[in-house]
Amino acid sequence: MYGYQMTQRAKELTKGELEMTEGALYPLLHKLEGDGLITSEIQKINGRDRKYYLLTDKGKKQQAAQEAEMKTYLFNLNTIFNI
Amino acid sequence: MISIIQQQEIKSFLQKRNLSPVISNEIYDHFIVQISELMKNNLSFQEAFLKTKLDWQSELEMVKADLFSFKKIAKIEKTVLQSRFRNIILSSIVFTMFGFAVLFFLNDYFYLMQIGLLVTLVCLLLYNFILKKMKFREYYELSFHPLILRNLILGSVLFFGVGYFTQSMNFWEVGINKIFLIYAIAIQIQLLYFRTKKVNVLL
Repeated sequence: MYGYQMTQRAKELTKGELEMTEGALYPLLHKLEGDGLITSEIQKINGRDRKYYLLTDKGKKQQAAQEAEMKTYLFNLNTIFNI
Repeated sequence: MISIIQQQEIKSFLQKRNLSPVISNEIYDHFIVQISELMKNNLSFQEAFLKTKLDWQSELEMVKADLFSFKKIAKIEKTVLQSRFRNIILSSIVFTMFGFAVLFFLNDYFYLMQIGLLVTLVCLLLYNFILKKMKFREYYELSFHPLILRNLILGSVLFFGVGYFTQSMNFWEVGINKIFLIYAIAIQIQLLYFRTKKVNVLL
């Protein structure tokens, strides 16, 4: 996925609730790339360079771990508030 | 559909922000897609361009490169560079602490560590020069970059200051200068490594 696509996908999935600011997105993507969690490849689209980002194996593991952590957190919150 | 003249207008707007080529290309592509999408909703190019510029206003605002600099760069560029430079400084400090431990507890191996670092530095330099990835002028600019000099001055004040007050007369015997050298070489190696990977760390 490329930067703009990510902002639109986040908006679409959250029905407009989550609006990613571009300025926050790109520094974060560069940081994740520096940490080896994502990798990028440049493709020529209509004569201009487009940078696509992909998860690395390390990134996929990190994503799975974070997802599990978040699910546990949400489950616990739900348990507390549904008492 | 965005015309060539309109594309040039976007390019010249971004050029004024003095962005590095990697970030500039990425933002340029983002601008083109965002404007094209807005134009699909019956907005004119100028309206769509203005809306996109407003969305990016805060990130493309020109700010001081760092506290002591007069140079102005875009806020988004500063955020990216600061994060990378902070990582370089942090890993150099961690490595220097490791060197400190080696110097005190495994003193006989300290020279091996110094040789290892120097060999790595020379290899990276040769690699960059032989494969023409870097000119000598660029290496000179990299070594004497204001940001590096400021950090080295700050580092030397800290290292030598702490060394002087804690070790008093045995200051030089303790080898605080050797530790500082490790810190400086660790920074140099990382800068060269990023340079080899064509990742911008300094402007």
